[in-house]
Amino acid sequence: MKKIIVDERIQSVQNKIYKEVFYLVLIMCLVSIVAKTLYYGFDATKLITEAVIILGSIGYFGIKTILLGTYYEVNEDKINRSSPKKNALFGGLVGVLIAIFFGVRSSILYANQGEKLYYFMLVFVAALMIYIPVLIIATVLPDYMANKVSKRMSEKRLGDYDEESQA
Amino acid sequence: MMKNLKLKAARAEKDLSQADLAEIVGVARQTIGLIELGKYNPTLNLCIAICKALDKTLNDLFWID
Repeated sequence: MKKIIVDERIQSVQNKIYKEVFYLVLIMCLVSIVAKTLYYGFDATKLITEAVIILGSIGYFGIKTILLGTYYEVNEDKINRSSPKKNALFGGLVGVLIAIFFGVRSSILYANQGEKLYYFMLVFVAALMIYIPVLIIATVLPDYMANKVSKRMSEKRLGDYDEESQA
Repeated sequence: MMKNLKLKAARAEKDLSQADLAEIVGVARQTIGLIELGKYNPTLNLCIAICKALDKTLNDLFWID
């Protein structure tokens, strides 16, 4: 019987192709979402397949990265470290942008002449109060938890290695 | 990357073709060709398999001065 060749170089090339396929599928799903929304108008029920593909694959990737310890190992590099401060700043910035968007939207849609600034400020401040804390927590907490679990997994694997080498 | 002439010489010394060496270590012929051309950086496992097949050490085949 002929030996089945598992060539590391071919495997590595195939892995690169799989990675590209993954990005391609995500891009095609996004294009499909945009096309369907433009053609049919926004209807969430028509976008379920794309949402399942995008969220499912990204979720799988995230969970695997955390459980194999690589999430923590990548972040351990101090240069690329995703610090809680940086994440909080990002969350806060997104919160401000959302608040501006809602403020402008409500002043255009609902305010009469002369009330626009008042409507903008009212909605802007209310949105800031809601979205900034929520988004800061939403960006800092998952990263903190993922790092913690991933670190434990990474150390567990190294612990197994230490036990093996001592045996 | 530089061409790996030491590997080519060691293979010739054993009178093996790229295909023969590839079969022994369990990779495709092109992989051996690319290693000799310096266009593929093999893993340590593959380096060791090649060294064993050619009765050489890692220093003999893969150390660059």
